[in-house]
Amino acid sequence: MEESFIIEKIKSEDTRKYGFNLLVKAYQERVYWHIRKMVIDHDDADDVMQEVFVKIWRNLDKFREDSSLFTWIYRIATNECLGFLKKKKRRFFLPIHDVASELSDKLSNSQHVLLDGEAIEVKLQQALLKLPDKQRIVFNMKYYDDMSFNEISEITGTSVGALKASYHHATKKVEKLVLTD
Amino acid sequence: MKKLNDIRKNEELYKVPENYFDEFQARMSDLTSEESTVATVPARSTTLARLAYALPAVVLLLVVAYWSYTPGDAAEDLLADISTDELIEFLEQEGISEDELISLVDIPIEELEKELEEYSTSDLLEDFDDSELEEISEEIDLYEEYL
Repeated sequence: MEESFIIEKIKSEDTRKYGFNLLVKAYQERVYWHIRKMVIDHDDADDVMQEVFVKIWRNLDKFREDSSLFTWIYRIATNECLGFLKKKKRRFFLPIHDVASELSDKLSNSQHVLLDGEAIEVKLQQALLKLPDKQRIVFNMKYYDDMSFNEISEITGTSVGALKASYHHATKKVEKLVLTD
Repeated sequence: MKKLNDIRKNEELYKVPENYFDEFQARMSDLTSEESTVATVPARSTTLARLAYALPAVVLLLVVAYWSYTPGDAAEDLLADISTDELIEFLEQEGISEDELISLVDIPIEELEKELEEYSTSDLLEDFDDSELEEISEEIDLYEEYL
C-alpha cells in the first residue's frame, strides 16, 4: 500500500475513517514488534498499541507531511513506549524487584517466547534489557528494523552523531554480554 | 570473538495470540465508528437533551416563584410535605454548590463569619455521630492529603 494513497485518504474528512483503517492495516505489525521488543509482555504491548493508534486517530489532522507518515507513527509509538516503561519503573520502589529483571524473567518463560530460554536470540534480548531504555529502542530500530541514522534521528529528535555513538556503545556492551563465552 | 551480525534477527521470537492483528484492526475500526457517531450527533438533539435535563430545575424555579408571591401558609404546607433528605438529594442532583446556596441566604457575610468563630471544634463534633465521623474519615484520604 502506497503511503501517499493513505495520506490522501486521511486528509479528506469524508474518507478519513477509511484512510485510518488502511493505516492500521499497513503499519500495525511493524508498530507491534517495535513495542513488543521494548515491553516484552503481550498484554502490555497491546495496551501501548491501543494508546498509540487512538492517539494517531485523534491527531490525524495534525499530521503535516513535514515527515513521512511512517516516521510520524514511529515517533508516537516510541514516545508511548518510553512513557509506558517510565511509568512502570515508578511503580517499583524496591531495587530487589526492578523492571529489567521482571522482563528478563518473562523472556525465559515459554508462555511469552517461542524459543528455548537458552537460545542466543533470547540471550541477546536479555542483554539488551541491561541498556537504558532509549539506547535499547535506538538499538532495536537500527539492528532489527534496519533504519538509517537519519530516520532514527527524525523519530527520536537526537542528533545523528549522538545516535552513532550510542549505537556503537550499545553494540560493544551487548557483544560483550552475549558472545564472549 | 563472534559479532552481533552472526545472530539471526529472529524478530518473531515472541508468542502472539492467534488472529491478534485481525482483532486489533476490528477494535480500531469500532473505536473510530464510536467516535464518529459521538462527533456527528446533530446540534438540535443536544439542545433538546439539555432542555430535558434543565426541566426539573425550571419547574423548581417556577414553584419557588409561586411560593414567594403566595401569601399565607400555602408555601410552608407544601414544603412540609417534602422531607429534608429529599430536599438535600434534589439539591445534590441539581449540582448547586455550597457557594451558590450561601449567596441565596440573606445574612451579611460578617455575621456568618462571627457565628463560625463562635462555633468550636467540640460543637462541630457534637453535630456528628460516630458513624458519620467514620464515613467522613473514609472519604478523606489522610495519606493523599497531607503526606
